Amino acid sequence: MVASGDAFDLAVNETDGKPLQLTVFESGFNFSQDGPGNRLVLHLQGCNMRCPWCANPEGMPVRAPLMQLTHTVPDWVCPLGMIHNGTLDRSRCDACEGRPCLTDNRSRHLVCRAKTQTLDAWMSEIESASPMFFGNGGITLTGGEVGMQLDAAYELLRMYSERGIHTAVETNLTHTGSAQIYPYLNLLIADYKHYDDDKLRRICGIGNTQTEHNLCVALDAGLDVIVRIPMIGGFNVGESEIKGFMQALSRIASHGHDGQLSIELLTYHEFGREKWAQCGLEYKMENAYVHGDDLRAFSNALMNAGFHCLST
Amino acid sequence: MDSRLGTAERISGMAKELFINERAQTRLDGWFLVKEAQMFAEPLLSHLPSIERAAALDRIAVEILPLSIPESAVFAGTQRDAFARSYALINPSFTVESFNGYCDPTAVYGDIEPNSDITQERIDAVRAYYKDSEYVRALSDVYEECEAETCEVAYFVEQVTGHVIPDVRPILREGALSRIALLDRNIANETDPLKLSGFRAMKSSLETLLLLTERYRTLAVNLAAQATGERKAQLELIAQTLTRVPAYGAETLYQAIQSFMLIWQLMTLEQAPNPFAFSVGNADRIFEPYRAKEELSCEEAAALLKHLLVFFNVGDRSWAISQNLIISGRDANGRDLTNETSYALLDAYYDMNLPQPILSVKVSRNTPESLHRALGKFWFTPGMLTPSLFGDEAVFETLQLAGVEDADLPNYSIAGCQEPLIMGQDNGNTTNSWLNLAKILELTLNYGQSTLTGRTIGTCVEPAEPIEALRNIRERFYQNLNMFLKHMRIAANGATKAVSYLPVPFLSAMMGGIDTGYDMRDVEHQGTKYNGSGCLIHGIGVVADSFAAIDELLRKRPQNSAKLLDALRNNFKGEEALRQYLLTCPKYGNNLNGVDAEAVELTSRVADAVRELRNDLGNPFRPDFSTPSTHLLYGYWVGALPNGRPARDMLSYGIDPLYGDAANGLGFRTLSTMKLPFEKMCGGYASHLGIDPKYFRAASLEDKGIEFRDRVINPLFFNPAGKGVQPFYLYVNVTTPEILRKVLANPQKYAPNGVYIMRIHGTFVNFLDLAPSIQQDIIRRLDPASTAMEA
Repeated sequence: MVASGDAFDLAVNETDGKPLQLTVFESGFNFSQDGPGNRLVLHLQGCNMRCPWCANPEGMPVRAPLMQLTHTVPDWVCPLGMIHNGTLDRSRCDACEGRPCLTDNRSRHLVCRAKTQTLDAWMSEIESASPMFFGNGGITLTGGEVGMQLDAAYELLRMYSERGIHTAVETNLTHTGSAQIYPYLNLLIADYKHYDDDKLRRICGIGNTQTEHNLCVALDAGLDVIVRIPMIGGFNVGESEIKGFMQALSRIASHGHDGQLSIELLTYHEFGREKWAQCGLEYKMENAYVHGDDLRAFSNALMNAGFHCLST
Repeated sequence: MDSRLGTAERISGMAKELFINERAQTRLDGWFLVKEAQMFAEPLLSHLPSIERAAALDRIAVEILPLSIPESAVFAGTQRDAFARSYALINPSFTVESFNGYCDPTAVYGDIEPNSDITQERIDAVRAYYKDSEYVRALSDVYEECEAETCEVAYFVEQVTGHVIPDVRPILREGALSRIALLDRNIANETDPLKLSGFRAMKSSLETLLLLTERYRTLAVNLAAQATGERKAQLELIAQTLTRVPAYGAETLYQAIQSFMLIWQLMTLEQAPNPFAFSVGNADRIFEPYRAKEELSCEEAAALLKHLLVFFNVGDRSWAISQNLIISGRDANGRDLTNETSYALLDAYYDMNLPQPILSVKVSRNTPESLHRALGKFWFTPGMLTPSLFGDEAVFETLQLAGVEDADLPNYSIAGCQEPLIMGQDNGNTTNSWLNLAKILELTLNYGQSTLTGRTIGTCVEPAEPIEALRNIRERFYQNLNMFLKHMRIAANGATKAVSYLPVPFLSAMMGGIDTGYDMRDVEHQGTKYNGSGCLIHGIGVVADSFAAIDELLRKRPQNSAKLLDALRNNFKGEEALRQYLLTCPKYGNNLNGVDAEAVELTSRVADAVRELRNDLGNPFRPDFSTPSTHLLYGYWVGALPNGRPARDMLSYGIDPLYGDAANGLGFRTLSTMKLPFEKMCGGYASHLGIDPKYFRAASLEDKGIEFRDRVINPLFFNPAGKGVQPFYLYVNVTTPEILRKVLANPQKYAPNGVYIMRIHGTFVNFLDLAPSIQQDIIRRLDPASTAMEA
């Protein structure tokens, strides 16, 4: 189900008349990140990119993976015999439909964090969490990639926006229908990983043409936008990259009006490294940490060009 | 400030030298000398009523006590002679297995090491004498009576010493002589012999305070005669000051602190050995009038207050544990009462960073931003002490519901760790009884037989088919709970009666006794305006989770009912798959409706049942949901539980989820917490957050203080969406398990002065002084997944 072009428009919520469902692999609160105040952040399952630095690799596949939380897993956890000497046979596990390890033989050794339920059920959970929306907080949808479950996201955002709850979405904006959700957003956080279309496609699987287009549409629509740039050593850090980003951002900023656009620089971290192992994946990033001088140089360039700049 | 003291910097330097000197004290013999002298004197005093005899014994103690004024002291007075080197958790030889369900008040004689002067024979003789005292015999009877139920801690009881907040303000303000004059008037007007005896004893004990003062004054004069220069001037000032206070009211901050120290010295001495958890109350409100009168700067006030802080540290490991100072808070109308002394105390605490006394901060909706900014450096300096926090609005509401009058609410103070009592008016008898819900659940599931030892401990429920036993588990549990509560009440009141054989006239004079004429420990005549008995309730989280797990098992695997009961008896041996299943059932602390409602119901019902109990004065017991490291000690005596917890593992701490069970971050954990019935927790409660400093990114420590307010304090205490009485207590450790492991591995690097302060429950301690099992408990309970602030 993963799109591999510059854009995608697939509707993953094929409902057949049933109530819309949403699959979330993680939910929790962020304070003053991913939007103002204290926010309930829902990570939607599935992503169309394959960024090798991803902090939430369990959110990439449409079908949430099994995560192995202990060094070894007792053989009894899988009644189908797919565990040998404490190790999962991932190739067979991936094809396993029933996953009895998560039902009959559930344990704290092997888990799948994703939860799929109707929007009504999600709304009930969100409602019970609403006492924590203090400081002008609200809800933020992120991923994975929100575009992978756009229909459900649209409905959820519409309902909360109409209730006056602050809504934000973090997305790579590669979905052709991204603009559908704009009327129900207070804040759009757009992942903009590289100005160079080819390089982005080579590393992450998708280019940035649709992203830029959707960004400009958002600004033209008057939406508050944060362009979030993950600074990854060896990928998009350096003097020439700053120049390239500045050109692209100036082009984007020509849309909308002053004060609408902020740029957030997010420096590389390895908080997700352990999760890659838990998902049975190899973490291939090396030497990607960003020097403080590089961060300062980029920040200064942005500020000198008149951008409102955030660092996290 | 008197120029003879030297500069603020010099006074601060002397406070640090004084602390170093105190930490070099590896023997604490004063209490023994006092008890021995009292042993010899007591037979000669047998004709006196007990409270007057106690006053006479106070005098004996002060007469024989060897006194000193250390070279770096600018005040006279010490608590050293009231404490032994006993407190378990900071004793390196402490083990969790050491709890034996019996409290022997003469065990302290085993904590003194014999030498050529204090020989084993002397120690044995004194111990034997007190073993045969009315008090110890009465207490022993209580323990013998309830031994079957306390040996594995279905509940526990103890005699309470310390653990109140005296009102020292009248003596500071008007002097001891004015209190004596008041007592003289009462004596002249009183006809009731019991009250007359009480008034006479209190008067005598106040005169003993003056005797102590005079002995120190003489010593200071003699030392001054041999001293030169700056030291001579300081000693002359001490001697001169002692001619004024505490006999007369203090005029300056220096005099007020001096007066306070001598009052405190006699008060602790009266209850030697080991009157833990006497507390000061709002020290900023007590001392501010004196600071303001002479317009001392914050720096000057802080310098003097540093000596006050050192006074609370006794011996090489700061053995006088759990003495609590409070700052800030509001009045009955919501007006903030933070003052200059609040900030001076914070500066003193920060500069000294001592293992004692505990610092608590009352916060309200009107707490000034400047106070939160000032607290930033405490939260975010590694190894720095951190205050515990009390939310005034909710504490006021809770105490009001428990019967405290409006005018008294701003004077609530903290006895020891987190129990709110009214300063000078409240004998809460706070640690009188200890209830172990988890053990009662274990016994209920196993028909009254311990799964650990096979010992029959008791039950009032009939055996039933496994599926029925599980289906009716709540009913059966509450039946048993009520039975154990009845027994606990009798034992607890017995322990309270036993301690009443040791009246405390000096303390009573600061607890309302000057008005009532009664000893504050009297169990037949109420000496204080407010009175109750505490009950510390253990196991809310694990029992709620167990009920939820049983429900799920019955719903999805009813055929496994017998298997579950067998597995619990065998500590899940051979049943790891079942245990894993139980571990994955819903757990309290994740904002899950079903299991959170279970915790609410359990808390509410247990609180109500405890509140129904009465002490001998007819006052209700106070539900206190705190577990001051007893979640470890009592957990050791609890078998496997249906939530998947193995035998002997720790219980959940206070009202917190069991470590590792609330893995969805601070927001969800806070939401679960907010549901609990805090209005029923009039005895207090405990809760801890281990917070990773990485979530706070402001540029300065002050700004981080504001971040801390906005992200941790306000959502919990002052949440606009909160319903009913809000949470009102919290302590934190701002660190990570990785950091603490590094500190343990390389203390020279991370704590070059040998002090790295952490909180263990309501108190803070030097992490490096702790017993290894307690160090590991701190690390485990940081439980970072439960407090994550980024998703």
